[in-house]
Amino acid sequence: MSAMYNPLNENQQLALEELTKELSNEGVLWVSGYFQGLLVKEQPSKANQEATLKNAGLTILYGTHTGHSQKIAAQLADATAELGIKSNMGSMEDYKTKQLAKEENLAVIVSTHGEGEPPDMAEDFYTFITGKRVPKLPNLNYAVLALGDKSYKLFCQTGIDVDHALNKSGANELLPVATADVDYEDIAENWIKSVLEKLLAKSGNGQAQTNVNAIKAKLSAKKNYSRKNPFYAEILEKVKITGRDSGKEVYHVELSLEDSGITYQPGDSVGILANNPPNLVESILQKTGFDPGEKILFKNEEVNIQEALSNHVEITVLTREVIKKYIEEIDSQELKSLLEDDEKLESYLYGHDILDLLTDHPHEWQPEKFFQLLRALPPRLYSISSSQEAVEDEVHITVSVVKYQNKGRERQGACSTFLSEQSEMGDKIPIYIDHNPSFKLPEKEDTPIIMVGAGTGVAPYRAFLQQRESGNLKGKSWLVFGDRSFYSDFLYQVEWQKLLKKGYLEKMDVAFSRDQKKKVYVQHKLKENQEELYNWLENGASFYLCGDMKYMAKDVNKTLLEIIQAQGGISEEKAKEYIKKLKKEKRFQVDVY
Amino acid sequence: MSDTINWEALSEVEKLKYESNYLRGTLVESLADPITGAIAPGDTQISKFHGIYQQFDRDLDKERKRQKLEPAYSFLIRVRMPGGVATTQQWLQMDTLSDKYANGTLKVTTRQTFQLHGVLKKNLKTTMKGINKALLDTIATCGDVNRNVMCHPNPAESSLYKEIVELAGKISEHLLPKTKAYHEIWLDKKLVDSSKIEVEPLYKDRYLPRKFKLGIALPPYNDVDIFSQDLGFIAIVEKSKIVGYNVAVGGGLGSTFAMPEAYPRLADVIGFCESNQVVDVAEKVVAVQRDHGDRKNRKQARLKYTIDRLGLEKFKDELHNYLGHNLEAPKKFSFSRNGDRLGWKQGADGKWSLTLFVEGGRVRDKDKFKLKTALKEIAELIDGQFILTANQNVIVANLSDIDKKVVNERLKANRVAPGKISGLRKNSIACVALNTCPLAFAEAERYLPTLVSKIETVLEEYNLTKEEIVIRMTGCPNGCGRPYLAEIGFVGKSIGHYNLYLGGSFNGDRLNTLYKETLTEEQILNELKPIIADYAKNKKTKEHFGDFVIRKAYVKAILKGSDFRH
Repeated sequence: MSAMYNPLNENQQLALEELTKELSNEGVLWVSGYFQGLLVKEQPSKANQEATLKNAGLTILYGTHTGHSQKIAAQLADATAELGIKSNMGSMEDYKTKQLAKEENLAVIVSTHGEGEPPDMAEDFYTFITGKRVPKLPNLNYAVLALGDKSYKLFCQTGIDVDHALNKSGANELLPVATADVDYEDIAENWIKSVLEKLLAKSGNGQAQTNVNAIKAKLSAKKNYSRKNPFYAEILEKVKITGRDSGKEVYHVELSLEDSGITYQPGDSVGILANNPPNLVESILQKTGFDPGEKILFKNEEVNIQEALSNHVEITVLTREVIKKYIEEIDSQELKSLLEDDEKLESYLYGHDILDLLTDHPHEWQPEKFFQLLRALPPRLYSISSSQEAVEDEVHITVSVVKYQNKGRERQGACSTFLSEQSEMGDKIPIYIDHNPSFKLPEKEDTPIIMVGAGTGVAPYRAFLQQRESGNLKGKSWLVFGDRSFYSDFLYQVEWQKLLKKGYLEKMDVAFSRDQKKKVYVQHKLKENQEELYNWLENGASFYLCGDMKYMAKDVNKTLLEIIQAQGGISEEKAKEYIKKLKKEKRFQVDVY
Repeated sequence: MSDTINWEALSEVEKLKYESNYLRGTLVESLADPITGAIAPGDTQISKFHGIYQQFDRDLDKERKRQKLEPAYSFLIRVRMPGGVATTQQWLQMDTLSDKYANGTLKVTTRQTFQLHGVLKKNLKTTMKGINKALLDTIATCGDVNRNVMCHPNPAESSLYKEIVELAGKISEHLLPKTKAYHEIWLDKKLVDSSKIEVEPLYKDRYLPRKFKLGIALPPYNDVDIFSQDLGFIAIVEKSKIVGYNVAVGGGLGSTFAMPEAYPRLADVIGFCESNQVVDVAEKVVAVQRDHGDRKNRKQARLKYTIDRLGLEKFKDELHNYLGHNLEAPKKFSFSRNGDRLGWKQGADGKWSLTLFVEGGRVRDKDKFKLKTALKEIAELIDGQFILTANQNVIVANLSDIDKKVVNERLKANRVAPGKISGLRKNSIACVALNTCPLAFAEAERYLPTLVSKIETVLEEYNLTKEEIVIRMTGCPNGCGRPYLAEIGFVGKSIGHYNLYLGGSFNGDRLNTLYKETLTEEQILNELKPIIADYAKNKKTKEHFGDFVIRKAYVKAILKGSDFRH
């Protein structure tokens, strides 16, 4: 088997050892031929090339939460195969760290979450690599691609830390750590290209550059619908599903995927490339005095200012990065002090947009400079609330409209307003599917599932249950839903009632925070049902959590820990391990935002 | 018993009642279910016996369906108040509850009681406890049992009032279901082991085949519409004393479009009994109906159909059997009107009563017209009673001279001083109908005031504004607003369309007759105009509108319920 790293899990390893123990030489020969045959059948090109190439192999490790890193890793693996470079790709979670000392070339793609934290699946690898037990790695060449979000303070921190740790342990940097914001595609492509170039240069392959260029072109031209190549989906249905008395506006939107060939799984998201709210664009034009028709260069593309503001840059939110760049142009003590005080900064960023910044800190901006401040308008992701098994060539999403008053001005979220106010049924809007491998129904399909969701966090569970209903899989499902009021905010109420009646949903608990004096949230319902919850977990249930990250996810995590402690009669430490094990077994999956 | 019952042949409700464990059903589980604002379908029948109807806001029906939300379920709670009598404390409590848990209004019903509308499931129990805290209850105000007992309401009209209202209380008490389900479910009383005693000696295990209504009239006032009751007692007064009561049986106004066998019927006076026999007579009439009523078809189950099926004489014989003696021959009486006499009235004891017009029976504040506030303030200040009338009005009763002044002040301060109200409006009744009654085909309470205003314009033209004419509107043919006893009756057919019935008598002893079908407002006015013009020109002295249209043959008088047609 591979000298690089062993991709077999423990059971497979044991089975293999068991098999080979008693094999005759003839038997070994036959089995090796059998396996070779399998490989040829599946990946003819790879297998053939592998036999003839003597290049140094590449190990590709990814640490992902939403699947982007995995996607890039797969692209890199494909590209290496095209070039005849031997590669092994795997998740940090499955990687045996002992193997590290034996590696020659390592590519790491890892994202960062919240306040500089690694994705759950990367936690162990991260601890190992940044810890004291990491061996000296003088023979290792490496490259790191760090994914992140510039609106967080510790941008790409996990990747940066991994890069730093590898460097410290004596490994050789193939290229400097690359950091990518939410619009990572270009950077990722360039990074892949650079990694390949370095590898080929090392192996002394003369054709390197031409090959790499060809592959890069191939990567870009892949005909999959993506963020860069969205599908224009017709809006089949758009209906506000919160009642009249609701303080919230939540829309159920049905989109057509007809003839697109797009497929998705419950747990995936739809990315929508929305326009900015026209009012805000207009106000910024007025404030800056820009000529809307003037052409500027944005990301190497010539567009006029009006269009750039509407379609290309993010203007509805403020980030640390924008402030940072802002004070490069204007000398403001006030803004500088913001950057020194996280709390103050947070409270300024919250509920403010670019127009506020322009108003609070006026400056005569040159268009080119101004647009350098801003990051590309990121797509908005919405958890899919349908299963293709049930709705076929449709995809449904559940959209909460962001709308609030601040400083006497109505503020609107870019995408929700785009959907709620600018789009009508029959319109076609640019979308793509954002696959999320870490929020999926259990592989063993009759595994019990506990689904906890607040507000639109209930969306993927509609998809889960549609899937189960299509497969006529009854019972063993428990939904805990929370929102503000029973009367107006009970999203998809009638559908849950039907699922309960038919038995596809076994149990449902609800928490409506504003229906009584004392606020009741989903975690209170979990606590009320803690004995049962623990029994479900003990019986192999998978636990899903979807919705608000800041409060709900934190509270649910805390409550779950308490429940496991209390019900299992174990220490906090042990309970943490219990949860860690759940996560490892993919029985605790989270999709929070 | 269940072995011998062929459930297939019976109406579904029969089995539900039988299996409800004396009106428990699965109400406790239904109340605890957090996924729906409704109760289980079977419990919607059982809850009626507890005074609770499940409804939903029909105005929002389509909208919520699109929103994937269940209908906006809420509940109507009907109070039991024999004779419509409430203390000031009880009024205040109902006022508070209506603001806190209902839609902020109090409905005065045509059976002299309060209804709260729009109570959410989660607030049901608290509201029920609140009602009971004021020493009121809601037992048997709906369902297949004897409902709220009615009786003439005005203490100032007669010194005999006290006697009849006490009798109303006694009958109501006597005919109550005896199950403890109500106390267990709503008031958290513990279940007592009752296996050895018969739970419902009168109603048995399936209660009555259908609802049962009972009232007491004090001639010459027929405000309780005695002929619309399943069982009516008409006080016979000799030398200023009640010597006994005439017994009237088989009234009932429920009917169905396109089903001539379901018709309104007026009660027959079948005899006379002494005062101390009234409770027993009531019990035995109930028992005959229990044993002889139709349990297969709920549209043929009321006492009126039992009587028409058996024949009046056979029914009387059976009743006499149950009583163990015969009723005496009925005595002479006469009624002058079925409406209320509005305004102040001083009783023989010197105490004052004010009969206050409440349009559509809806006690609420509307813009500057603050009726609800006024009555609340009055309840806080006076020492007296509030008595609800069968015509959906409120009597503030038993007041001293000082209290009378307070009442006038408060009414004036809240702009509800009794102003000039036309004789037509004074005599108007409307049922709730849309948006909460599930049976309604058309508006009633929300529309009748507008229609009355338009008819008033016509009356003004002919100088008939003061003429008292009984006008009633219901949203469906079931008859809650007693439309078939009106001189001008409207029954909703569809949104904006009504059947027009004419020729009821002013004192409530004659059914009206269908005049025109499925009219729009414009058509209604066009139909009424020439008749009103004719009435103005050709009416005899003191001739009522209902009598006039019969004399002039606009319609033919209906003499027998089964002749009635929609």
